[in-house]
Amino acid sequence: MRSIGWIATIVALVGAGPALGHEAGVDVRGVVVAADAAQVTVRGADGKETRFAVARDTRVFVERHGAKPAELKPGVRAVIHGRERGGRLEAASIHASAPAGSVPSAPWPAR
Amino acid sequence: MRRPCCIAVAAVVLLLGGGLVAGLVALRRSGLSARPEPGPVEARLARTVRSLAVAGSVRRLPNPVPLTPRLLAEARAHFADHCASCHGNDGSGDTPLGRRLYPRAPDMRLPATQELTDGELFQTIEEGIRLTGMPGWGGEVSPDVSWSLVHFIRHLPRLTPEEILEMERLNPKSPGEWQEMQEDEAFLKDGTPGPAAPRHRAH
Repeated sequence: MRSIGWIATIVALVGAGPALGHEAGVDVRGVVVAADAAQVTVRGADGKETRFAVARDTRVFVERHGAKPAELKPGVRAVIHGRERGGRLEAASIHASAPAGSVPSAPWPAR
Repeated sequence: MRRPCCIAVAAVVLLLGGGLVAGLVALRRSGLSARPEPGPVEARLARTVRSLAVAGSVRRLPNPVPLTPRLLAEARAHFADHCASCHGNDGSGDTPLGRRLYPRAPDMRLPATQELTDGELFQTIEEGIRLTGMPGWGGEVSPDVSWSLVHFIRHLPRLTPEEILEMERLNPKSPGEWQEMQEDEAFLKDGTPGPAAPRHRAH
């Protein structure tokens, strides 16, 4: 019985591997071109612009602090994890650097 | 007087038997799937059975581990590493695994979980819940760890975006995901160039 439990746990963990990753979508590293409460546009290193819709549950961080989409200033670096939802590209999370001239926050605590 | 009584009993047996046979036939035809949402009756029944499975003495146990910021941080890190795959960092259960379990991983921020006693939460972590995806971790970790997780579960409704972000760093990751996260951080920090084109994820 104990071995069945172990087998079930191992199967669950192995099966969990793909599921733990991001869901289908698009990730972009780039520079914010425009941002408001409804959408954010970033330009990638290849010069291509990608527009993400902002949803109610989109999480926005500037320098690892919770922020609003409108606080994203054009020109700041951003990493956007997007997902396909309802036929549109939606931002699941937006991580942005601080605008030029602001004081950077402390680094991540060691793991 | 005996005859009507016998007829009534026979009718009831016939109805029950017929229902059972019809149910079995339907089951054989369509099988059982974990994809539909559990019905209200089934959910209520499961909650009742779970409640009955907790001994009264355990239900009334107070949390013996004092709550400190350090303990909460350790519990948060443990939850991110071991529990969030199903429950989500925020305890919503809104994860690819949690959404597909049967029954679904609960939203632990809601009263259905928050109104459980500390003892009931501890028992659930230690002993698990039969016929669900919730394993029993008793014997695998120290009881103090389970009690610290009880504190963290109480904290879930007040979790800040910054706490969730920190937990995301601690979630289990493949080497590729770990590298991707480090590249993201390097890019945000000093603009270290990443891939030129958007990266498409299949999963």
